Amino acid sequence: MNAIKQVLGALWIALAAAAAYFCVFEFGLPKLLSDQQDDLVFGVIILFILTPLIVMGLGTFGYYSLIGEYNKKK
Amino acid sequence: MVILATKSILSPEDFDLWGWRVPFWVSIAMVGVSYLIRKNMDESPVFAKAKKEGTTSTNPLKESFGNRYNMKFVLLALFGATMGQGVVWYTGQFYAMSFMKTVMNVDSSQVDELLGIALLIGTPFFIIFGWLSDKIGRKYIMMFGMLIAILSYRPIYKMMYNTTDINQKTEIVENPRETTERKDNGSSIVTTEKKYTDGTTVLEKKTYMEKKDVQTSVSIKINSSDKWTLIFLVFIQVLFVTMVYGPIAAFLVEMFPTKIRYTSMSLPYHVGNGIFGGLLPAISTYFVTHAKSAEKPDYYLDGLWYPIVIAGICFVIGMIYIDNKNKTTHL
Repeated sequence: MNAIKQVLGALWIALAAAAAYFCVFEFGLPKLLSDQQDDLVFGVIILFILTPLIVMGLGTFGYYSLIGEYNKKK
Repeated sequence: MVILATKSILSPEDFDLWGWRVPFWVSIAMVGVSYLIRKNMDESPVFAKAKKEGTTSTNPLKESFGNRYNMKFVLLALFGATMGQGVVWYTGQFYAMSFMKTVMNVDSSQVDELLGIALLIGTPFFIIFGWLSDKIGRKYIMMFGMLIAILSYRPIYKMMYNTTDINQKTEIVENPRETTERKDNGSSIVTTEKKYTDGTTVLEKKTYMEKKDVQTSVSIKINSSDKWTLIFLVFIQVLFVTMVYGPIAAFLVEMFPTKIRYTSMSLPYHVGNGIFGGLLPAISTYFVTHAKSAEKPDYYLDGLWYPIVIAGICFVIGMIYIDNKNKTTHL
């Protein structure tokens, strides 16, 4: 199980990076630069609230997992 | 319940004018009740002992989030439990309500009523699953709740949508009633009432204003059988909520050391519920609107991708990283 946790650590980091790309370039920025009021609100939510949380939180969680912080002590 | 009671006593005009304030007034009284309960409540024996011995933290923020050992548990609690619990909770109660009102166009007072009944039937299960988690551990109850929610959200919402889909109902053609109301500002509202053979009534309001596009709103009054179908489908979702929510407080309490317990559990709990859960109606409604404008046939189900993906990631993390213990360590 420890090995799985460490391998998954890399997956969480990759997921955080993918989330960063999609949240910024696919969802956040296009909405933020749109003239529609609804899009603007959605862009702000995605870009300034959800993105930092997912990217930094999941990235750190993945890093801890990768270096074995969550491994069971023998 | 308060909104439902207020709406049933007041006229729609009075509710819009001042009645919407009543739930806020009631909440002031509830704050007072909470204060009294907290004031008369003893500290837990473990915390009282720590306080007596002077071993409580002097800087809980630093100890909670500045300490790498503790920070990894904060992240684990967030991504392995509260994130999924937050989206399951908000889907079952708040998104279900918004979906029925805005996507299915069910009459607002009927939605409040059926949601109130489903919540009333479902509420005892918070205690039942909390009790069960004391017996068999927190993890599997929360994870099972998340898993069946992930697997069943789309079929449930499809059934909900089909319940009021007027394209599948037979209209009584000889009976459409149309009324026109002229307003002082020059606009006129044309209301068309259509009845269906199963007892469903559809009110379509078209507002005509000078130099503006026609605004159309639809309100569907459902029959008794459909109402109970929807109550059952919402109740199932409330059941998922009780499975993930019932054990969560005890799970978080057991995860952190006594002296920094509340500070440490506060962040994952509030981020999981407030951010991941709280943003659900906005994000899911956006997905539905986007899919509708792209003319996807199942556009109304697109909003569910947000809770399904978030709960899915949480389920994997929870299953692999969290142990089924009800003690301090979850590794």
